[in-house]
Amino acid sequence: MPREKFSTLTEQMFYILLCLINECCGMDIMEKVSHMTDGRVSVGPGTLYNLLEQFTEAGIIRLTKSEGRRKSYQLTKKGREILETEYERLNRQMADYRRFFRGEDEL
Amino acid sequence: MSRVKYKLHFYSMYDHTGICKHLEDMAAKGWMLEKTGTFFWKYRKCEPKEVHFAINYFPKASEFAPEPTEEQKLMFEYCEQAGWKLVDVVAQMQIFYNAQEHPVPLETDAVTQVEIIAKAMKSSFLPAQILLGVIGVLQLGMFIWRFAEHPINVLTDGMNLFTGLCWIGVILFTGLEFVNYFTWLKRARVAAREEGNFVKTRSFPKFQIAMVVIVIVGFVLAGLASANIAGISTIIFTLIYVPLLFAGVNLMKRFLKSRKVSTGVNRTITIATSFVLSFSIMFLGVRFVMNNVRNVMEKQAGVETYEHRGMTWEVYHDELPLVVEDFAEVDYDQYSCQLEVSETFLAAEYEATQRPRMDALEYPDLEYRIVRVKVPLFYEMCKQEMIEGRYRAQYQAVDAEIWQADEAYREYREEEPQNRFLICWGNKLAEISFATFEDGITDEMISIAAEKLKDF
Repeated sequence: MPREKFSTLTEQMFYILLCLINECCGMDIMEKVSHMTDGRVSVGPGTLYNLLEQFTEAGIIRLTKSEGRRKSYQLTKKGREILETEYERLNRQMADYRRFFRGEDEL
Repeated sequence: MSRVKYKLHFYSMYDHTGICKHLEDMAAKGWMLEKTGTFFWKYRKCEPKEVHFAINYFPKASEFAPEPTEEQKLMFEYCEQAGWKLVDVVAQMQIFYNAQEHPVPLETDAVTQVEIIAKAMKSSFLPAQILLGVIGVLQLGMFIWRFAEHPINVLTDGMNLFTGLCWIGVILFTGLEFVNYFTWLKRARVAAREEGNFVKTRSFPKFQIAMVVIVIVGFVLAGLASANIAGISTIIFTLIYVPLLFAGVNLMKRFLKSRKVSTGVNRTITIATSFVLSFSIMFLGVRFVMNNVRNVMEKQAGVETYEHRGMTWEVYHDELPLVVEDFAEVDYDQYSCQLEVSETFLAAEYEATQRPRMDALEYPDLEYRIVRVKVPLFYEMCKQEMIEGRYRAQYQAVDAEIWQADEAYREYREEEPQNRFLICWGNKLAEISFATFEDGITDEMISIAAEKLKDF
């Protein structure tokens, strides 16, 4: 059965959404993600454009400002829920890691 | 040395891995892509350099749009910010290059990248391949039908035969493209979802170029093998027709784009142009071929003409293996003798006609047709075509010994025997008509005909 879109997020998706907790211009997201992750995660311009479009179509983000081609976006309520769900999923993964991987060492 | 070079481009549209590698190799050799085209891409001489090329797909883009949309321009700005400079846009494909040593890739999310490619291919590559495949299947179906109904005509006509083989090639080509694309898509989706990796694309440009070369060379050879002015004229016409049609349609599309005509209007006019151009060029081409045939035939030695009741009739003086004079003395010396030959490596057909002038129809005429089937596999179907090919008449088996043949048949209409025969000598089938011999046919005439034709 195909997985529902955005039920899990790739690293690119996660950090783009994280940038949009507060209103942010699309142009600034690439630099912001790189800064947030100390250069560990890069978002390519093609990926950025496509994901912003997909997030907008899915109602995860909304266009808040449009000045010519400078467009700003922000998370919607649905977007916050998706980000929260992903955060909890990652937390559960980390908890499983601590329980089973570190638990073996303690044994 | 020229500062501009044009190279054939045969990469599949989704094969951005292959295209980018090719463009990077060209740049390293000192040739930078300047402009794309339908078949030829334009490169400009530059200092050899190490640059990165990347391709981004924009599913909503249209090759009929007057200019990039605002959304596309936004994408270009994002790319520019990351150091990617736009080279050209062709349909849904946008080509960028970056001179930085380690640029941030244009696409960094494999899942998104694969889905965007799949979306773009749905609006361009796949419909084109489906259309080509359907046309190929229909054309091949028609060829098979023609072959089943008229095997002699197909087997003896090089152009006809080659056209059929070409359609097989088209079907194989589109099949390969489909298999290649969907195999890659399936693997790419799994790899993107499970590993976050992008599976490189691959197409077979050298194979595609080889196929085009084989088709063109085969086409020319088939036409030349027809050994007649119609075949050669057809080659010349087709080699001009196809590029002319493509050039005309592209010219119209580019003209409308330069005039900033809307996408929908451009698409409608361009498609209409393709129909009008294809029919009008075809019409002119047919006239070109027919005029050439007429001119050459009139100029050939021995081809005269005469007028009778307002119509022009041609007179030929070809050498025939069997003529009316072989059967009896005829006090007439103005016969037209014509021998038409069609031959391929599979079969040969000779149609001989000896006719008096239209003002001397009291004299007998003679017509016969010999088919030499070179490949035994096709013998029976050729024989059946000749046996069953009579309108409101049937061939019935008669004594073959008198014809010194393996088999002999005589035509019957409403149970009445006619003076038309079908004779089988080894791999040769001969059909001969003595319809205008008023005194009928005798055993001696049959013997003469057999002697003259069985070894022809």
